[in-house]
Amino acid sequence: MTCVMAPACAAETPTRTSAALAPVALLARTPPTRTVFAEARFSPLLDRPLLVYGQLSWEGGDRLERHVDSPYVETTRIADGEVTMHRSGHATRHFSLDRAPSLKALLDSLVAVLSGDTTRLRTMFHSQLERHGTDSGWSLILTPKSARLARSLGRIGLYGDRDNLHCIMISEAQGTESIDLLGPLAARMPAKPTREALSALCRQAD
Amino acid sequence: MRAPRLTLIVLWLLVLAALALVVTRNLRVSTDLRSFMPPPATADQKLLMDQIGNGPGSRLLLVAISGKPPSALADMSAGLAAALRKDPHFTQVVNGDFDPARLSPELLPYRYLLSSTLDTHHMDAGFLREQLQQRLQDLASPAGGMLESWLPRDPTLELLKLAKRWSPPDAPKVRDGVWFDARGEAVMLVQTQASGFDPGTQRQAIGALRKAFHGLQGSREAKLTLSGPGYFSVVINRQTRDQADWIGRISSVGFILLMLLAYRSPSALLLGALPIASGALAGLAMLVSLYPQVHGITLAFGFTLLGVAQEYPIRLLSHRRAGASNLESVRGLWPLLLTAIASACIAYLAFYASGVPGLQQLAVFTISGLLGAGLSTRYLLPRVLPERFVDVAGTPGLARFRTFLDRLPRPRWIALLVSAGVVVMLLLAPGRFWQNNLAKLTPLPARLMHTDSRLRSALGAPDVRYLLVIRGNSAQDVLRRSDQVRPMLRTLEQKGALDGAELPTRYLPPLAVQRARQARLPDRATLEAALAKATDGLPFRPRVFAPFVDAVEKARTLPLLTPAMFEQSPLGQRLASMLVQRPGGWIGLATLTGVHDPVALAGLSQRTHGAVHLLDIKHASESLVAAYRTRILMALTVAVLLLVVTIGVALRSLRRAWHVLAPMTLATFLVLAVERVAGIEISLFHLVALILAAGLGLHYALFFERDTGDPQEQRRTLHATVVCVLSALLVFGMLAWSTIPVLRAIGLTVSLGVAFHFCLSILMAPHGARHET
Repeated sequence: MTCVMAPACAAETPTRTSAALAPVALLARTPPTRTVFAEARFSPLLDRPLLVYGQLSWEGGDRLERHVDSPYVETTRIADGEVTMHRSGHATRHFSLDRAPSLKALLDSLVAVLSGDTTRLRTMFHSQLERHGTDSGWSLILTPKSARLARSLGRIGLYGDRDNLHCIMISEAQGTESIDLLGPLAARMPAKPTREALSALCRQAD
Repeated sequence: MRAPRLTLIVLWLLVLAALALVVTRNLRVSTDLRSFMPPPATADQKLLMDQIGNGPGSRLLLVAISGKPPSALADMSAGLAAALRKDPHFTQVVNGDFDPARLSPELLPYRYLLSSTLDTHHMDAGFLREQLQQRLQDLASPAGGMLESWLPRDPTLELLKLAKRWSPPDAPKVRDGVWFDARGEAVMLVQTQASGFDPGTQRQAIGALRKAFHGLQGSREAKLTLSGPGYFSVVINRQTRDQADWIGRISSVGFILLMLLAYRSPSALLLGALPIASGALAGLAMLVSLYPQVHGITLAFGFTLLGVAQEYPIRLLSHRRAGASNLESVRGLWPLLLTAIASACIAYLAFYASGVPGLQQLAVFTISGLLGAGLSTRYLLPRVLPERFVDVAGTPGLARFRTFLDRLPRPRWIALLVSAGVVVMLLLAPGRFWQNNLAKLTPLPARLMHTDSRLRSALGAPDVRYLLVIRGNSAQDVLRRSDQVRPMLRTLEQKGALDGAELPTRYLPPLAVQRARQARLPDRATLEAALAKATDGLPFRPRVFAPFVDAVEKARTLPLLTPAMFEQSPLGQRLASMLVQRPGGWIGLATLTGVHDPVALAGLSQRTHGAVHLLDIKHASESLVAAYRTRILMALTVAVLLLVVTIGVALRSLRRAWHVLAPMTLATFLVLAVERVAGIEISLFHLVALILAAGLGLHYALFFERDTGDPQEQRRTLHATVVCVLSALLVFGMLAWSTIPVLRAIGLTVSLGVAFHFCLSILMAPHGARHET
């Protein structure tokens, strides 16, 4: 049942969902893989977004590392359902991935995409594919199937073209949104970003 | 003749049935070790008796669920915790699903008084700014989503600090919302209402826990592992009972065969059981009419000691002679039997005088039991036994055995030789003389010990052996002293004397500390000004922290939190078990984890002028056992004196009394010496078994000493004694093979005792030698 070869699976079951997940097949990477990111976090508590810069690495399996090197140094590792967070000058914090459902959803979607595991995506999310800009540009909007998860997570948007992932947009239920620009796009993070500007950037990146 | 005999049997059985009814209606057997122990003398012993099994550590059950994927185990852990939280058998259930949002809303406003932040910081612009800058970084981190909804009312995260403070110091990892150990088992801590050393009530609690577990979805494939003092007491009780039952069945069969072989009459076998049944029921009936509760161990001791009574019917059965009626036979036998019964009863009076409730109950049971068995042997049994029987004097081989025994040399120096041997053996004996650790008599299987230490370290559960006791005049006094001792404990932790301590102040600071914290809370205007300054230039929206300002304002005027108020909250039980009112004051009980240097901890007592001190539960309970033994030994000394006087008076000759008492005494010491040389440390159970053996030995010596001048009667005496010895060896010799030390202790001691008493009472009896001359 597990689709090891994503394109082959897609070919076998040409359903709507499989078709929607078609770009995912091209995104599969062999771990370990890493990319730089720039993240803007919009929160209802704040009148302007928080910006951080760093690298995101996937070490295979459900192991992910998010390293922030600016404006401060912070490393977050996710492994075996445990999150370990270390910020320079502070004690290391541990918490269960379970306590952070949206982080877990991000891990699930990202690992599924990077490993080409469309089954995992299908079991957890409703997905919807849009093509825009040039023919190669696409966005994949994932909404959680579980009602419990839906209470804290609105949706995850993956933006890319052909075989590249440019952006991850995570909308949490309370109106908080974080937008990660990946790879070369990270360098194009504005000094004072707005949701609209970043959204446009994600759709038009070429 | 036949009809009255039957009527009497029926009447007898009816009386026994009525007694049995009274007993079963009224007998309350307590399994709580407290009702068995002597009255405590030292402060530690008193505390132990109050707290034994009630201490927070000893009421903990360690629970692990395994055998399924983690997510399924997590669901089961949550389900089990939910079920147990509703069950009155349990006072606390902790499985890691600590959710600050769910933490009792009434405690929420108290966070600024409970958390230690204000001890070291002022809620001024500088502190707030530093906190808010950290919160911005938190928000931008993957943990941001978890905090976002809390920040407006708690930007300094006091609630998280409290949650951390209130979770076990070395809590296991949380996975899918519940604790997991390194092996991937879902683990939890459950505190029972029942005392940890009360197997009866623990069994009910564990039964309820298992039932709740089996009611969970998927429990069939999952495995439930339990550990902890309460669970152990249940396991040990069951194991001991199972083995005793199993051995008892085999020896019963042997006993029946022996009786049939000896008397060749099933009716003799059945009727011969009536006196001992009468004795046991008389003893129990007397106990229930005098005491509201009887301790299980007292009963076990009592039934052991009542074993002497099986001699009575055997003596009657063996001493029936051809041409004489049962009544005539028993009349000939009675003076001697009465001497034995009366002297034993008088001796047990010494136990009654000991003042120890357990020993008093033992004396009441044994004396009534012996009298019941003795009197029914004298007045009832002869009237119901069939008058046709086989005279045992004609038993094949018996005459030859008697002749052989009579020809054995009776050197006078045998007493000296045995005494010298006893002294040498006692001097050479390895190890300690006394075994004070009752737990050693019922050791746990290594597998359970291993599981316990594994789960204990995984859960960071406290040590069951040590408790830190904090005394005070009031609950506040205790809390104040706990607060004072905290830095000392911290120092000891750093020196490696212990891994951690949980003081009552972890949950509730003393009023003075709360008051000081409250006084440090800024008023609304000051806080608003500080916040405005702190948020200057930070991206927080204006008035985002209004709920925080309100919460601080509310905390400024809250009535301070007292233990009584705190105990209403979900965490209240935890505090209640650590803060106890006792006659003459209050005590705080702090649990300790990983005690490496008890001596250093004991030193706290001196540094606090006795206000705080280390309670070594093992040491205190061992000193109680030693005190108990001293009482038994004292009672025994008096009993021996009483026995000497009784026997002397009954036999009206010191020389004859010597012939009875000397072999009995020597044989008793010989058993002691042989056991000691074999490396056995003597426990209370050995002592009780020695007393039983001495009681049996008294019979052997009395009967062998009796000179009837009739070889037939001598043979009957030998027959009766041999049947008694063999039956005792059958019952207790089987126990000696048990794998459970407590059963082995009783079995081995009685078997050795019976053998030595038999041999010495023959070798030291006078008349065999007289016949030869």
